[in-house]
Amino acid sequence: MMKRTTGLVASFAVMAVLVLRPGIAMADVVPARKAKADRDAAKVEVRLAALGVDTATAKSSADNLTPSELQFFADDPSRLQNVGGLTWYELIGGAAVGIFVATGVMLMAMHAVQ
Amino acid sequence: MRPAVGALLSLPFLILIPGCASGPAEIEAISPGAPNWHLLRGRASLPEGRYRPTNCGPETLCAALVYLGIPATITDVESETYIPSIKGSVPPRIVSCARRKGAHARVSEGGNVWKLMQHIDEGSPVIIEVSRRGQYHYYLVVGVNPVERVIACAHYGNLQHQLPFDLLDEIWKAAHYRFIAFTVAKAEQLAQEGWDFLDAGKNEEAEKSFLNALKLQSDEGKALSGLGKIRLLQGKLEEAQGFLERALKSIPGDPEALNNLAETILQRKGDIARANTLTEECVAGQLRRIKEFDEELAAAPPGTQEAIKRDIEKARVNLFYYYGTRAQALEANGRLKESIEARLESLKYPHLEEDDPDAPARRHLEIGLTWKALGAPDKAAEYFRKALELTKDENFRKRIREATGK
Repeated sequence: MMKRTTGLVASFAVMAVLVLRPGIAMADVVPARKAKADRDAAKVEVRLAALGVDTATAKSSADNLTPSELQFFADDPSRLQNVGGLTWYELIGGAAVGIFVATGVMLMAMHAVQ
Repeated sequence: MRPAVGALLSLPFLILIPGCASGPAEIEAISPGAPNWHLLRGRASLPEGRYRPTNCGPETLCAALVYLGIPATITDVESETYIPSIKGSVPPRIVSCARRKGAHARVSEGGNVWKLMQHIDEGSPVIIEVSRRGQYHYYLVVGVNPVERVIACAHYGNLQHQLPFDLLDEIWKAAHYRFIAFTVAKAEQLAQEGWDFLDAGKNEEAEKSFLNALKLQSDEGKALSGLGKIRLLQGKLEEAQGFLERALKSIPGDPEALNNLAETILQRKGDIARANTLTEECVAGQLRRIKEFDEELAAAPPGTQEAIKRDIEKARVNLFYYYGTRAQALEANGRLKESIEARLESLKYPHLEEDDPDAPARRHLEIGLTWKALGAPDKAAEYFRKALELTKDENFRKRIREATGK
Protein backbone atom coordinates (compact mmCIF):
# COMPACT_ATOMS: atom_id res chain seq x y z
CA MET A 1 0.00 0.00 0.00
CA MET A 2 2.83 2.34 1.00
CA LYS A 3 4.72 1.54 -2.19
CA ARG A 4 1.62 2.19 -4.25
CA THR A 5 1.08 5.58 -2.58
CA THR A 6 4.74 6.52 -3.13
CA GLY A 7 4.43 5.48 -6.77
CA LEU A 8 1.32 7.58 -7.22
CA VAL A 9 2.98 10.61 -5.64
CA ALA A 10 6.02 10.20 -7.87
CA SER A 11 3.83 9.85 -10.95
CA PHE A 12 1.93 12.97 -9.95
CA ALA A 13 5.19 14.84 -9.49
CA VAL A 14 6.36 13.82 -12.95
CA MET A 15 3.03 14.85 -14.45
CA ALA A 16 3.27 18.17 -12.65
CA VAL A 17 6.72 18.76 -14.11
CA LEU A 18 5.82 17.61 -17.61
CA VAL A 19 2.35 19.07 -17.95
CA LEU A 20 1.99 21.98 -15.59
CA ARG A 21 5.54 23.28 -15.76
CA PRO A 22 5.72 26.73 -17.33
CA GLY A 23 7.44 26.90 -20.69
CA ILE A 24 10.78 28.12 -19.39
CA ALA A 25 13.06 25.21 -20.17
CA MET A 26 14.63 25.92 -23.52
CA ALA A 27 15.85 23.40 -26.01
CA ASP A 28 19.43 22.43 -25.24
CA VAL A 29 20.63 22.75 -28.79
CA VAL A 30 24.10 24.32 -28.79
CA PRO A 31 23.53 27.98 -29.72
CA ALA A 32 25.42 29.76 -32.50
CA ARG A 33 28.68 31.45 -31.53
CA LYS A 34 27.79 34.67 -33.28
CA ALA A 35 29.52 37.23 -31.09
CA LYS A 36 33.08 36.10 -31.86
CA ALA A 37 32.38 35.74 -35.58
CA ASP A 38 30.83 39.23 -35.66
CA ARG A 39 33.85 40.71 -33.89
CA ASP A 40 36.24 39.01 -36.35
CA ALA A 41 34.14 40.23 -39.29
CA ALA A 42 34.32 43.79 -37.95
CA LYS A 43 38.14 43.58 -37.72
CA VAL A 44 38.35 42.32 -41.30
CA GLU A 45 36.08 45.12 -42.52
CA VAL A 46 38.18 47.77 -40.73
CA ARG A 47 41.37 46.41 -42.28
CA LEU A 48 39.85 46.30 -45.77
CA ALA A 49 38.63 49.88 -45.35
CA ALA A 50 42.18 50.88 -44.36
CA LEU A 51 43.38 49.38 -47.65
CA GLY A 52 40.97 51.67 -49.47
CA VAL A 53 38.12 49.23 -50.06
CA ASP A 54 34.69 50.90 -49.89
CA THR A 55 32.38 50.01 -46.99
CA ALA A 56 29.89 47.92 -48.97
CA THR A 57 32.62 45.85 -50.65
CA ALA A 58 34.44 45.40 -47.35
CA LYS A 59 31.24 44.15 -45.72
CA SER A 60 30.36 41.73 -48.50
CA SER A 61 33.96 40.44 -48.54
CA ALA A 62 33.78 39.64 -44.83
CA ASP A 63 30.24 38.24 -45.04
CA ASN A 64 31.27 35.58 -47.52
CA LEU A 65 34.00 34.14 -45.33
CA THR A 66 33.53 31.26 -42.94
CA PRO A 67 34.19 31.97 -39.24
CA SER A 68 37.49 30.05 -39.45
CA GLU A 69 38.63 32.19 -42.35
CA LEU A 70 37.51 35.34 -40.54
CA GLN A 71 39.47 34.27 -37.51
CA PHE A 72 42.60 33.67 -39.60
CA PHE A 73 42.53 37.23 -40.93
CA ALA A 74 41.27 38.84 -37.71
CA ASP A 75 44.09 37.22 -35.69
CA ASP A 76 46.56 39.23 -37.77
CA PRO A 77 44.93 41.79 -40.08
CA SER A 78 48.24 42.36 -41.88
CA ARG A 79 47.46 39.06 -43.61
CA LEU A 80 45.07 41.15 -45.67
CA GLN A 81 46.91 43.08 -48.36
CA ASN A 82 45.99 44.71 -51.62
CA VAL A 83 47.44 42.13 -53.96
CA GLY A 84 47.99 43.16 -57.52
CA GLY A 85 49.94 46.33 -57.20
CA LEU A 86 52.76 46.38 -59.71
CA THR A 87 55.72 44.20 -58.74
CA TRP A 88 59.04 45.87 -58.02
CA TYR A 89 60.58 44.82 -61.33
CA GLU A 90 57.52 46.04 -63.21
CA LEU A 91 57.88 49.36 -61.40
CA ILE A 92 61.59 49.60 -62.14
CA GLY A 93 61.06 48.44 -65.70
CA GLY A 94 58.26 50.98 -66.13
CA ALA A 95 60.43 53.75 -64.72
CA ALA A 96 63.30 52.75 -67.00
CA VAL A 97 61.08 52.77 -70.08
CA GLY A 98 59.76 56.17 -69.00
CA ILE A 99 63.28 57.55 -68.67
CA PHE A 100 64.24 55.99 -72.01
CA VAL A 101 61.30 57.65 -73.77
CA ALA A 102 61.95 60.98 -72.03
CA THR A 103 65.62 60.82 -73.02
CA GLY A 104 64.69 60.12 -76.63
CA VAL A 105 62.30 63.06 -76.68
CA MET A 106 64.97 65.29 -75.11
CA LEU A 107 67.59 64.22 -77.66
CA MET A 108 65.20 64.82 -80.52
CA ALA A 109 64.40 68.24 -79.12
CA MET A 110 68.12 69.09 -78.79
CA HIS A 111 68.71 67.88 -82.36
CA ALA A 112 65.84 69.99 -83.64
CA VAL A 113 67.24 73.10 -81.90
CA GLN A 114 70.66 72.54 -83.54
CA MET B 1 77.29 61.74 -81.86
CA ARG B 2 78.52 63.84 -78.97
CA PRO B 3 79.84 61.90 -75.89
CA ALA B 4 77.14 63.38 -73.65
CA VAL B 5 74.44 61.98 -75.90
CA GLY B 6 76.00 58.50 -75.81
CA ALA B 7 76.14 58.59 -72.02
CA LEU B 8 72.51 59.68 -71.81
CA LEU B 9 71.45 56.89 -74.18
CA SER B 10 73.18 54.22 -72.07
CA LEU B 11 71.52 55.44 -68.83
CA PRO B 12 68.16 53.65 -69.24
CA PHE B 13 69.92 50.36 -70.00
CA LEU B 14 72.01 50.70 -66.86
CA ILE B 15 68.77 51.12 -64.91
CA LEU B 16 67.06 48.24 -66.69
CA ILE B 17 69.79 45.69 -66.02
CA PRO B 18 69.57 45.53 -62.19
CA GLY B 19 65.78 45.75 -62.42
CA CYS B 20 65.50 42.66 -64.60
CA ALA B 21 68.27 40.80 -62.85
CA SER B 22 66.41 40.92 -59.54
CA GLY B 23 63.10 39.69 -61.00
CA PRO B 24 62.06 36.20 -62.09
CA ALA B 25 63.56 34.77 -65.26
CA GLU B 26 61.34 34.25 -68.28
CA ILE B 27 61.81 30.80 -69.79
CA GLU B 28 60.34 28.66 -72.56
CA ALA B 29 57.58 26.35 -71.28
CA ILE B 30 59.07 23.38 -69.43
CA SER B 31 58.30 20.12 -71.21
CA PRO B 32 56.31 17.58 -69.15
CA GLY B 33 59.08 14.98 -68.94
CA ALA B 34 61.86 17.44 -68.02
CA PRO B 35 64.23 15.81 -65.50
CA ASN B 36 64.14 16.78 -61.82
CA TRP B 37 60.88 18.72 -62.16
CA HIS B 38 57.77 18.13 -60.06
CA LEU B 39 55.13 19.59 -62.38
CA LEU B 40 51.36 19.84 -62.37
CA ARG B 41 50.10 17.48 -65.04
CA GLY B 42 48.85 19.38 -68.06
CA ARG B 43 49.01 23.12 -68.38
CA ALA B 44 47.89 25.93 -66.10
CA SER B 45 47.75 29.03 -68.28
CA LEU B 46 47.19 32.61 -67.15
CA PRO B 47 44.31 34.20 -69.03
CA GLU B 48 44.66 37.84 -70.04
CA GLY B 49 42.19 40.00 -68.19
CA ARG B 50 40.97 43.53 -68.53
CA TYR B 51 42.94 45.01 -65.67
CA ARG B 52 46.43 43.85 -66.55
CA PRO B 53 48.99 44.32 -65.00
CA THR B 54 47.31 44.69 -61.58
CA ASN B 55 44.98 41.70 -61.83
CA CYS B 56 47.31 38.89 -60.78
CA GLY B 57 44.58 37.84 -58.27
CA PRO B 58 41.84 37.13 -60.83
CA GLU B 59 44.29 35.76 -63.38
CA THR B 60 45.95 33.26 -61.05
CA LEU B 61 42.61 32.23 -59.53
CA CYS B 62 41.03 31.74 -62.96
CA ALA B 63 44.02 29.66 -64.09
CA ALA B 64 43.81 27.52 -60.93
CA LEU B 65 40.05 26.94 -61.34
CA VAL B 66 40.31 26.05 -65.01
CA TYR B 67 43.22 23.74 -64.22
CA LEU B 68 40.98 21.91 -61.72
CA GLY B 69 38.35 21.48 -64.42
CA ILE B 70 36.00 24.11 -62.99
CA PRO B 71 34.47 26.32 -65.69
CA ALA B 72 35.55 29.94 -65.15
CA THR B 73 36.16 32.90 -67.41
CA ILE B 74 38.52 35.75 -66.60
CA THR B 75 35.70 38.28 -67.10
CA ASP B 76 33.60 36.48 -64.53
CA VAL B 77 36.43 36.04 -62.03
CA GLU B 78 37.56 39.64 -62.44
CA SER B 79 34.06 40.93 -61.78
CA GLU B 80 33.95 38.94 -58.54
CA THR B 81 37.46 39.53 -57.26
CA TYR B 82 39.00 42.65 -58.74
CA ILE B 83 38.39 45.92 -56.91
CA PRO B 84 38.99 48.80 -59.34
CA SER B 85 39.14 51.44 -56.58
CA ILE B 86 42.28 49.85 -55.10
CA LYS B 87 43.57 48.46 -58.40
CA GLY B 88 43.96 45.00 -56.98
CA SER B 89 42.21 42.25 -55.11
CA VAL B 90 42.14 41.01 -51.52
CA PRO B 91 42.38 37.39 -50.30
CA PRO B 92 38.78 37.15 -48.96
CA ARG B 93 37.39 37.75 -52.43
CA ILE B 94 39.71 35.15 -53.94
CA VAL B 95 38.65 32.55 -51.34
CA SER B 96 34.92 33.19 -51.56
CA CYS B 97 34.94 33.30 -55.37
CA ALA B 98 36.73 29.92 -55.40
CA ARG B 99 34.10 28.54 -53.01
CA ARG B 100 31.21 29.79 -55.16
CA LYS B 101 32.77 28.10 -58.17
CA GLY B 102 33.04 24.77 -56.35
CA ALA B 103 36.69 24.80 -55.30
CA HIS B 104 38.11 24.56 -51.83
CA ALA B 105 40.64 27.32 -51.16
CA ARG B 106 42.73 27.27 -48.03
CA VAL B 107 44.86 30.25 -47.02
CA SER B 108 47.85 29.40 -44.83
CA GLU B 109 51.07 30.89 -43.64
CA GLY B 110 54.42 29.20 -43.16
CA GLY B 111 54.73 27.68 -46.62
CA ASN B 112 57.98 26.29 -48.01
CA VAL B 113 59.17 24.62 -51.20
CA TRP B 114 58.53 21.16 -49.81
CA LYS B 115 54.89 22.02 -49.12
CA LEU B 116 54.63 23.46 -52.63
CA MET B 117 56.06 20.25 -54.04
CA GLN B 118 53.61 18.17 -52.01
CA HIS B 119 50.63 20.18 -53.33
CA ILE B 120 51.91 19.91 -56.89
CA ASP B 121 52.40 16.15 -56.58
CA GLU B 122 48.78 15.93 -55.36
CA GLY B 123 47.60 17.92 -58.40
CA SER B 124 46.66 20.96 -56.35
CA PRO B 125 47.61 24.36 -57.81
CA VAL B 126 48.98 26.88 -55.31
CA ILE B 127 49.03 30.66 -55.37
CA ILE B 128 51.87 32.21 -53.39
CA GLU B 129 51.71 35.78 -52.14
CA VAL B 130 55.02 37.59 -52.47
CA SER B 131 56.02 41.08 -51.53
CA ARG B 132 58.77 43.56 -52.07
CA ARG B 133 58.91 47.21 -51.13
CA GLY B 134 55.31 47.25 -50.03
CA GLN B 135 53.96 45.76 -53.27
CA TYR B 136 52.10 42.44 -53.11
CA HIS B 137 51.80 40.02 -55.97
CA TYR B 138 50.44 36.52 -56.63
CA TYR B 139 52.22 33.78 -58.55
CA LEU B 140 50.55 30.51 -59.48
CA VAL B 141 53.15 27.81 -58.86
CA VAL B 142 53.06 24.88 -61.28
CA GLY B 143 56.43 23.24 -60.77
CA VAL B 144 59.35 22.78 -58.38
CA ASN B 145 62.82 21.62 -59.30
CA PRO B 146 64.65 20.78 -56.07
CA VAL B 147 67.88 19.89 -57.88
CA GLU B 148 68.25 23.17 -59.73
CA ARG B 149 66.56 24.94 -56.79
CA VAL B 150 63.95 26.81 -58.84
CA ILE B 151 60.17 26.99 -59.04
CA ALA B 152 58.12 27.52 -62.19
CA CYS B 153 55.00 29.65 -62.40
CA ALA B 154 51.93 29.42 -64.63
CA HIS B 155 52.22 29.59 -68.40
CA TYR B 156 51.52 32.74 -70.36
CA GLY B 157 51.63 31.91 -74.00
CA ASN B 158 54.58 29.59 -74.40
CA LEU B 159 56.54 31.21 -71.60
CA GLN B 160 56.80 30.74 -67.85
CA HIS B 161 58.38 32.65 -65.02
CA GLN B 162 61.07 30.86 -63.09
CA LEU B 163 62.21 31.89 -59.61
CA PRO B 164 65.36 30.59 -57.91
CA PHE B 165 64.80 29.42 -54.31
CA ASP B 166 66.91 32.31 -52.97
CA LEU B 167 64.80 34.94 -54.68
CA LEU B 168 61.62 33.08 -53.74
CA ASP B 169 62.66 33.10 -50.10
CA GLU B 170 63.46 36.80 -50.21
CA ILE B 171 60.11 37.86 -51.67
CA TRP B 172 57.93 35.23 -50.00
CA LYS B 173 59.35 35.82 -46.51
CA ALA B 174 57.95 39.36 -46.45
CA ALA B 175 54.42 37.90 -46.79
CA HIS B 176 55.10 35.33 -44.06
CA TYR B 177 55.16 32.57 -46.70
CA ARG B 178 51.40 32.91 -47.30
CA PHE B 179 49.81 30.71 -49.90
CA ILE B 180 46.39 29.56 -51.09
CA ALA B 181 46.05 25.91 -52.07
CA PHE B 182 43.15 24.93 -54.32
CA THR B 183 41.41 21.60 -54.66
CA VAL B 184 38.06 20.53 -56.05
CA ALA B 185 35.85 20.66 -52.95
CA LYS B 186 35.24 17.22 -51.44
CA ALA B 187 32.03 16.27 -49.64
CA GLU B 188 33.82 16.18 -46.29
CA GLN B 189 35.30 19.66 -46.80
CA LEU B 190 31.91 21.07 -47.78
CA ALA B 191 30.33 19.53 -44.69
CA GLN B 192 33.06 21.03 -42.50
CA GLU B 193 32.53 24.41 -44.15
CA GLY B 194 28.79 24.04 -43.49
CA TRP B 195 29.41 23.46 -39.78
CA ASP B 196 31.70 26.44 -39.74
CA PHE B 197 28.86 28.61 -41.07
CA LEU B 198 26.27 26.97 -38.81
CA ASP B 199 28.39 27.56 -35.71
CA ALA B 200 28.31 31.27 -36.50
CA GLY B 201 24.55 31.28 -37.09
CA LYS B 202 24.86 31.66 -40.89
CA ASN B 203 22.24 29.01 -41.49
CA GLU B 204 21.50 29.78 -45.15
CA GLU B 205 25.16 29.49 -46.16
CA ALA B 206 25.46 26.37 -44.01
CA GLU B 207 22.50 24.73 -45.71
CA LYS B 208 24.00 25.43 -49.16
CA SER B 209 27.28 23.81 -48.15
CA PHE B 210 25.53 20.77 -46.65
CA LEU B 211 23.36 20.27 -49.74
CA ASN B 212 26.43 20.57 -51.99
CA ALA B 213 28.20 17.97 -49.85
CA LEU B 214 25.23 15.61 -50.17
CA LYS B 215 25.21 16.05 -53.95
CA LEU B 216 28.72 14.60 -53.93
CA GLN B 217 28.10 11.97 -51.27
CA SER B 218 24.53 11.25 -50.23
CA ASP B 219 25.50 9.62 -46.92
CA GLU B 220 27.98 12.28 -45.73
CA GLY B 221 27.29 12.08 -42.00
CA LYS B 222 28.35 15.57 -40.94
CA ALA B 223 26.28 17.17 -43.71
CA LEU B 224 23.20 15.12 -42.72
CA SER B 225 23.75 16.01 -39.08
CA GLY B 226 24.06 19.71 -39.97
CA LEU B 227 20.84 19.69 -41.99
CA GLY B 228 19.17 17.88 -39.10
CA LYS B 229 20.20 20.66 -36.72
CA ILE B 230 18.97 23.36 -39.13
CA ARG B 231 15.59 21.64 -39.43
CA LEU B 232 15.41 21.27 -35.64
CA LEU B 233 16.08 25.00 -35.24
CA GLN B 234 13.36 25.66 -37.83
CA GLY B 235 10.92 23.49 -35.88
CA LYS B 236 10.61 21.01 -38.77
CA LEU B 237 10.94 18.10 -36.41
CA GLU B 238 10.00 15.22 -38.66
CA GLU B 239 12.55 16.24 -41.28
CA ALA B 240 15.11 16.88 -38.55
CA GLN B 241 14.68 13.37 -37.20
CA GLY B 242 15.01 11.89 -40.69
CA PHE B 243 18.32 13.66 -41.33
CA LEU B 244 19.69 12.89 -37.86
CA GLU B 245 18.79 9.19 -38.04
CA ARG B 246 20.58 8.99 -41.41
CA ALA B 247 23.56 10.93 -40.03
CA LEU B 248 24.07 8.50 -37.17
CA LYS B 249 24.34 5.62 -39.61
CA SER B 250 27.48 7.29 -41.02
CA ILE B 251 28.82 8.86 -37.83
CA PRO B 252 27.62 6.61 -35.02
CA GLY B 253 28.41 8.01 -31.59
CA ASP B 254 28.80 11.60 -32.76
CA PRO B 255 27.79 13.61 -29.67
CA GLU B 256 26.27 16.57 -31.54
CA ALA B 257 24.07 14.34 -33.72
CA LEU B 258 23.05 12.26 -30.67
CA ASN B 259 22.14 15.37 -28.68
CA ASN B 260 20.09 16.88 -31.49
CA LEU B 261 18.28 13.62 -32.22
CA ALA B 262 17.41 13.23 -28.53
CA GLU B 263 16.19 16.84 -28.42
CA THR B 264 14.07 16.24 -31.55
CA ILE B 265 12.52 13.10 -30.09
CA LEU B 266 11.75 14.91 -26.83
CA GLN B 267 10.15 17.82 -28.67
CA ARG B 268 8.10 15.39 -30.77
CA LYS B 269 7.13 13.55 -27.57
CA GLY B 270 8.43 10.38 -29.19
CA ASP B 271 10.27 7.41 -27.74
CA ILE B 272 11.49 8.95 -24.46
CA ALA B 273 13.34 5.80 -23.40
CA ARG B 274 15.41 6.03 -26.59
CA ALA B 275 15.99 9.75 -26.00
CA ASN B 276 17.40 8.82 -22.60
CA THR B 277 19.82 6.30 -24.11
CA LEU B 278 20.89 8.76 -26.79
CA THR B 279 21.71 11.46 -24.23
CA GLU B 280 23.62 8.97 -22.11
CA GLU B 281 25.74 8.02 -25.14
CA CYS B 282 26.12 11.69 -26.09
CA VAL B 283 27.50 12.80 -22.72
CA ALA B 284 29.79 9.78 -22.43
CA GLY B 285 31.08 10.38 -25.95
CA GLN B 286 31.75 14.05 -25.32
CA LEU B 287 33.60 13.33 -22.06
CA ARG B 288 35.71 10.79 -23.93
CA ARG B 289 36.42 13.34 -26.66
CA ILE B 290 37.56 15.96 -24.12
CA LYS B 291 39.87 13.38 -22.53
CA GLU B 292 41.36 12.58 -25.95
CA PHE B 293 41.89 16.29 -26.64
CA ASP B 294 43.61 16.67 -23.24
CA GLU B 295 45.95 13.80 -24.10
CA GLU B 296 46.61 15.29 -27.54
CA LEU B 297 47.39 18.65 -25.95
CA ALA B 298 49.88 17.10 -23.55
CA ALA B 299 51.81 15.57 -26.47
CA ALA B 300 51.37 18.44 -28.95
CA PRO B 301 54.27 20.59 -30.20
CA PRO B 302 53.95 24.28 -29.17
CA GLY B 303 52.78 25.43 -32.61
CA THR B 304 49.63 23.31 -32.56
CA GLN B 305 48.63 23.78 -28.93
CA GLU B 306 46.43 26.84 -29.46
CA ALA B 307 44.19 25.03 -31.95
CA ILE B 308 43.78 22.07 -29.58
CA LYS B 309 42.98 24.41 -26.69
CA ARG B 310 40.26 26.01 -28.81
CA ASP B 311 38.83 22.54 -29.58
CA ILE B 312 38.82 21.67 -25.88
CA GLU B 313 37.07 24.90 -24.96
CA LYS B 314 34.45 24.34 -27.64
CA ALA B 315 33.88 20.74 -26.54
CA ARG B 316 33.47 21.82 -22.90
CA VAL B 317 30.94 24.50 -23.83
CA ASN B 318 28.96 21.98 -25.87
CA LEU B 319 28.90 19.67 -22.87
CA PHE B 320 27.04 22.33 -20.86
CA TYR B 321 24.18 21.95 -23.35
CA TYR B 322 24.46 18.17 -23.77
CA TYR B 323 23.99 17.75 -20.00
CA GLY B 324 20.90 19.95 -20.33
CA THR B 325 19.34 17.59 -22.88
CA ARG B 326 20.40 14.66 -20.69
CA ALA B 327 18.46 16.26 -17.82
CA GLN B 328 15.39 16.77 -20.02
CA ALA B 329 15.46 13.11 -21.07
CA LEU B 330 15.83 11.93 -17.47
CA GLU B 331 12.97 14.19 -16.44
CA ALA B 332 10.77 12.88 -19.26
CA ASN B 333 11.45 9.37 -17.96
CA GLY B 334 10.41 10.35 -14.46
CA ARG B 335 13.95 10.35 -13.02
CA LEU B 336 13.68 13.80 -11.48
CA LYS B 337 16.48 13.65 -8.91
CA GLU B 338 18.90 12.37 -11.57
CA SER B 339 17.81 15.21 -13.82
CA ILE B 340 18.84 17.66 -11.09
CA GLU B 341 22.23 15.95 -10.87
CA ALA B 342 22.67 16.25 -14.65
CA ARG B 343 21.82 19.96 -14.49
CA LEU B 344 24.26 20.50 -11.64
CA GLU B 345 26.89 18.67 -13.68
CA SER B 346 26.08 20.96 -16.62
CA LEU B 347 26.87 23.98 -14.45
CA LYS B 348 30.43 22.71 -14.00
CA TYR B 349 31.06 23.52 -17.66
CA PRO B 350 31.28 26.91 -19.36
CA HIS B 351 28.33 28.23 -21.33
CA LEU B 352 28.39 30.71 -24.21
CA GLU B 353 28.77 33.86 -22.15
CA GLU B 354 28.20 36.35 -24.95
CA ASP B 355 25.67 34.46 -27.04
CA ASP B 356 23.67 32.84 -24.25
CA PRO B 357 24.29 34.92 -21.12
CA ASP B 358 21.23 33.61 -19.25
CA ALA B 359 22.11 29.93 -19.59
CA PRO B 360 23.16 29.49 -15.91
CA ALA B 361 20.06 31.37 -14.70
CA ARG B 362 17.89 29.11 -16.86
CA ARG B 363 19.59 26.04 -15.47
CA HIS B 364 19.00 27.20 -11.87
CA LEU B 365 15.37 27.89 -12.65
CA GLU B 366 14.96 24.40 -14.13
CA ILE B 367 16.49 22.87 -10.99
CA GLY B 368 14.22 24.99 -8.78
CA LEU B 369 11.12 23.91 -10.68
CA THR B 370 12.15 20.27 -10.38
CA TRP B 371 12.65 20.61 -6.61
CA LYS B 372 9.27 22.29 -6.42
CA ALA B 373 7.69 19.36 -8.26
CA LEU B 374 9.43 17.01 -5.88
CA GLY B 375 7.79 18.79 -2.96
CA ALA B 376 10.91 20.54 -1.66
CA PRO B 377 9.90 24.25 -1.58
CA ASP B 378 12.95 25.42 0.42
CA LYS B 379 15.40 23.95 -2.06
CA ALA B 380 13.26 25.26 -4.91
CA ALA B 381 13.30 28.77 -3.40
CA GLU B 382 17.10 28.64 -3.09
CA TYR B 383 17.49 27.92 -6.83
CA PHE B 384 14.86 30.46 -7.82
CA ARG B 385 16.77 33.08 -5.85
CA LYS B 386 20.02 32.11 -7.57
CA ALA B 387 18.29 32.23 -10.95
CA LEU B 388 17.12 35.77 -10.21
CA GLU B 389 20.62 36.77 -9.12
CA LEU B 390 22.24 35.30 -12.23
CA THR B 391 19.92 36.55 -14.91
CA LYS B 392 21.16 39.49 -16.93
CA ASP B 393 17.95 40.06 -18.85
CA GLU B 394 15.00 41.97 -17.40
CA ASN B 395 12.45 40.06 -19.49
CA PHE B 396 13.83 36.75 -18.30
CA ARG B 397 13.70 38.05 -14.71
CA LYS B 398 9.99 38.73 -15.20
CA ARG B 399 9.49 35.23 -16.60
CA ILE B 400 11.25 33.73 -13.60
CA ARG B 401 8.98 35.67 -11.24
CA GLU B 402 5.88 34.52 -13.17
CA ALA B 403 7.06 30.92 -13.23
CA THR B 404 7.81 30.87 -9.52
CA GLY B 405 4.70 32.77 -8.55
CA LYS B 406 6.64 35.73 -7.11
